[in-house]
Amino acid sequence: MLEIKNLHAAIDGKDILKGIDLVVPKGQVHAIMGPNGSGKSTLSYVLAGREEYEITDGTITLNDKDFTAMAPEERAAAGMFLAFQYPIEIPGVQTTTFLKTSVNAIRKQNGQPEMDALTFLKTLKAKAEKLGVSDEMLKRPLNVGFSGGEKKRMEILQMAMLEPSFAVLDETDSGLDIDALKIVSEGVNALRGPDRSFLVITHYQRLLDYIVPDVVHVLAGGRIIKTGGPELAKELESTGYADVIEAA
Amino acid sequence: MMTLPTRYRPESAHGFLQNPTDGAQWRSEALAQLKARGIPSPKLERWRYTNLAGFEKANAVPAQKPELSFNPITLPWMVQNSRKLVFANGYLVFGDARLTLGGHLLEVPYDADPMEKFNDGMLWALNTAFMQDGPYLNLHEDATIEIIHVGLGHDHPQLASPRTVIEIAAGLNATIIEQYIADGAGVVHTNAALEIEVAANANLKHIRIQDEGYTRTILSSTHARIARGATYEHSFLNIGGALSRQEFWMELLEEGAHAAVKGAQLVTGRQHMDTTVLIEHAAANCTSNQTIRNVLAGDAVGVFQGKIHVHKIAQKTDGYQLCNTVMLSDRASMNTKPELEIYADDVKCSHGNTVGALDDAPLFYLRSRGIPEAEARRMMLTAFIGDLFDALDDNIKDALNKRVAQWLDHGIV
Repeated sequence: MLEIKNLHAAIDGKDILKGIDLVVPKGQVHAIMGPNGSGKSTLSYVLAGREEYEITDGTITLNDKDFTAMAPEERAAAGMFLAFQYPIEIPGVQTTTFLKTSVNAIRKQNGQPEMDALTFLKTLKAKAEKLGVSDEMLKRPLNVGFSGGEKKRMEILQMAMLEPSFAVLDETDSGLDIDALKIVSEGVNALRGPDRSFLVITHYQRLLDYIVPDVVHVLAGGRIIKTGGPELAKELESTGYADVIEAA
Repeated sequence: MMTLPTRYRPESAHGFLQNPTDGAQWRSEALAQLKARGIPSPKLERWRYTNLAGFEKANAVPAQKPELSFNPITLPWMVQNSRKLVFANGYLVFGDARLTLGGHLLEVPYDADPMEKFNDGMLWALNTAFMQDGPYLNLHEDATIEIIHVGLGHDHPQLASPRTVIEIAAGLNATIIEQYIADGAGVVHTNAALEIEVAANANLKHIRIQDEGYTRTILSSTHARIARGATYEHSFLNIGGALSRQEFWMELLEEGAHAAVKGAQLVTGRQHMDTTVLIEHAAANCTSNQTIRNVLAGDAVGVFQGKIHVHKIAQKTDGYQLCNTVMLSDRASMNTKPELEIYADDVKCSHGNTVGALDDAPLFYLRSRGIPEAEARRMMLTAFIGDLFDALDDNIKDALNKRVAQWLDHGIV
């Protein structure tokens, strides 16, 4: 379970998040929608521990662990995963090597033995196949020369390999055509389960047709101004954010 | 002005500077040059970033032939069936350093003045004045040769002055691997000079690892003359030296010749490391490539000066130069100076240069996947050095990459 209490965060001295309270129970999918500049991406970075963002007040806990002062790698080991809106290209680091390093780094931090090479490759192959990630992509440097859709599928593949207890999907739908959107959504839905929760950040309702949330929140001006069921997303799609923001 | 002797060749098949009288005229003329001009000062344009005052003050004496305290077999050889030579403080201590004598190979006249080309080339003169010994490799068949130069430290600073002559006959493929390593406490400085000739359509891969500890002054001048359709590819990994400077002067003498210098300078603590390159396109349709990657930590100072000189006759030249630097500390500094001097009108020359810290975005990306910060940095730096050595044979490439990995694990201060 993720619990965010009175979260305030700033970058370069500028306040972005201005008091967020949010609880995502185990097994649930929550969506965060909001206009540009409302703080959606900041929230995802702050959850994953990006150091440029300063938490000026409030707390984040995941499964009763205080995340507020933890390093990004410690958060990952404790079950946090962020699917990036813009996955980073890392020339010179082969995708498979990266995935293996990542899986074993998390296992090591959790006191588990390394995954042996054969098990790792078998697991990777099975999961990659489901997401339409080719062997050729796995041999290339991480995200280098990947299309927008390939990058997003690679994010979901990483999530599938790392099996986090909490995943933030930051505008995973951006830059995807409808076919890629389906593949990515199926990948996410396959990971839904009683012990895993998701925070799906999106600008558009479209993604939520495929990944149906339990709860929808509207973020504006660094605060959650409205919370509702899946129907709230549809309402936003037809009326736009302006009405909701005004009403709040 | 007196002309400095330039193209030294052993006087007999049986001795390379083994007798005090060998090369006597060369030494005395070089010594006269040295006395007249002195050690280069930072007032000279090409010496702006590197100051040899400390080296001069050390007042090193010419190295004596040392006793070897180890078995040469235990040295870090890379290739199983290579011909192996060991020099200690510039003197041959293992192997046969005079591999066939076939006379001069290149017919292109030698008329340039190394004093000018080697940036007021006192290093060249200094080597000539005190050269004691060195490999003379006059190759008439394909070969892989490994040379290990061991600097055995001494209470009073000594100066080793190995002189290397490499001549590759037409159409051959040769690989020459040089390692400069340190042994023992104390100091022996090194000032190496290398004369290389690659005859028509021959291909020489020359690999140099300079790993001589952190207390010494390590200098070298490499002069390569490359004939029609021939290739000279120099790969280097520089790790050692309190102060080091390596100079290259590569001459593309005839059509279709290719020269490359690719390497990494890994610099830490209070080290100062300098790579200075001059590539001369003296014929049409020649290509050159300079790819330099630097990693600087601590209070380190790095220097790269790279010049492409395209003669009027050298149409269709393709000259490439790229220097990338990662700074791991804000106390470190990097000086880079690209120079293009072009007299032909149909040429393609490019140069690029980047200096910066490791990017935050990829670092955060790797850490968000559970990879600890130190390991994420190491991965990114390994990737930064990346493909530099990819064109080399696997065992050589692996040895170089392994040494890079060791430095990344332990060398960064």
